[in-house]
Amino acid sequence: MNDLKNEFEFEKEVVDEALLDNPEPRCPVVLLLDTSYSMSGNPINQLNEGVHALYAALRDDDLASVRVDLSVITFGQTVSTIQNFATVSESQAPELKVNGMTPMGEAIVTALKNIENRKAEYRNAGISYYRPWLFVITDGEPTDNVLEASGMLQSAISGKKVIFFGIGVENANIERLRQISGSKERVFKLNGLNFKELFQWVSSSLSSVSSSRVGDTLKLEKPSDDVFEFEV
Amino acid sequence: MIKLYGASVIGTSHLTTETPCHDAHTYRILSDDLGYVACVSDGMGSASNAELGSSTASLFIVDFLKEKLHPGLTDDEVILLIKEGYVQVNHLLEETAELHELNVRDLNATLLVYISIKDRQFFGQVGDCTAIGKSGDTYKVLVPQQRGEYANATFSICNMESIENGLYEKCDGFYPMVALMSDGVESISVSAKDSTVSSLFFDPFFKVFSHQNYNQAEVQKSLERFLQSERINKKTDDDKTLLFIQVSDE
Repeated sequence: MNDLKNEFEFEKEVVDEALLDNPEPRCPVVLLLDTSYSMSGNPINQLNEGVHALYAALRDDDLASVRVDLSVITFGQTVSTIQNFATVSESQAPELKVNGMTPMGEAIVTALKNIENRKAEYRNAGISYYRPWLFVITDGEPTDNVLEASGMLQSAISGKKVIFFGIGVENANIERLRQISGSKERVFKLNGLNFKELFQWVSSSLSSVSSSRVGDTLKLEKPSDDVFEFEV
Repeated sequence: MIKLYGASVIGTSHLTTETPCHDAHTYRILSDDLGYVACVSDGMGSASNAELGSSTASLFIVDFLKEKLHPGLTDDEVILLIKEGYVQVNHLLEETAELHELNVRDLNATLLVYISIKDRQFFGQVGDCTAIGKSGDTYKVLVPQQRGEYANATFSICNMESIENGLYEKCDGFYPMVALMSDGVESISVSAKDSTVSSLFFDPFFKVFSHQNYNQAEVQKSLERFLQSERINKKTDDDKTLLFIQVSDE
């Protein structure tokens, strides 16, 4: 049997090149951030710090750093994709600047279209993916028409195409956000301007998702003391 | 003559969380060496007693099929029999869950069954295990993964709808060499982009069948060492199962 052991020790027989490097599955995440003029001063500073903290926390997690595919879209003077989808290991936290109104409707449509385009790119590249996450963070209410956005968002939520969270700060119109999304329980008001805490929660949630399997139900505490429970 | 060997080993993610190996594999040689029934089952990470689901399912299905299979069955009859086996597995898991005062979802698992009988081969598939075949120097994915849109969503034998939507088919052609695997191994040996099978990966495992001193127990130990090696654990933290089968004229 020694002969066999020597000749067929699979650890030696299977060379390194035999092991394929299939791409990591991705979890697309869009941060849709209100950078209208009313966010100037402390709110935008806190939001910037929060986004930096999110990038730092995701980088600290081995799996999340290569699986969370993060895009940042701002809505103010214009709707701008200031960070295309990228893992935090290959991108930097963008700097947010305030300007203009609150074209939230256009921003939501842009985000949902970007998500569908990204999923098509994954499929073409043979990359599997988790259900996309969409965060809308605002201190006000939309100043544009949200009819198309609301229809698309509600359809995406009910069709399990996206996991949505709406977060209002300061004078945000929470009820309006709930109407637009048709999702009462996933829209909540942040305590003060505690974006750091919010993004720590986002980071830990995404870490759980990026190692989750098969209809896992995640239980996550949200910053306003309630407990979320939802299928990922 | 039929030769086979296999191993299921725990992944590092389960070592970290102190959960047992959720993978299971089983096989039976058919009477008179007419062929074999082999299966791999992967208990789902989110199920609290997934190892009970995967082991119960795999032991049951191979015995069920071995008892009922015979060469006189038509292709359609074999396919119906495989599906009936999956339905029976589902019922058994319901009973098992009740016996242990569990929800049947606590036993969630996938199940791939491969049958070779004389010159015909068939499979049943619910979930994301994979089977590949080797004929001459050519490799081919024989049983593709069955997955939902999302990476963390697959199909479980605990769900009757998933069983209804399972794949139960006759293989196109006959493959003397077949390997069954759980998704932990598939992820490092089959290209996700174009389903190309890594011949460099599989060649050594099939080559061993023709070694003059082939010994199943020894080869299995070598396979276990390989699957537990640091090199493999760096590539995948999932549980890993590989089962190799060769049918030859010897």
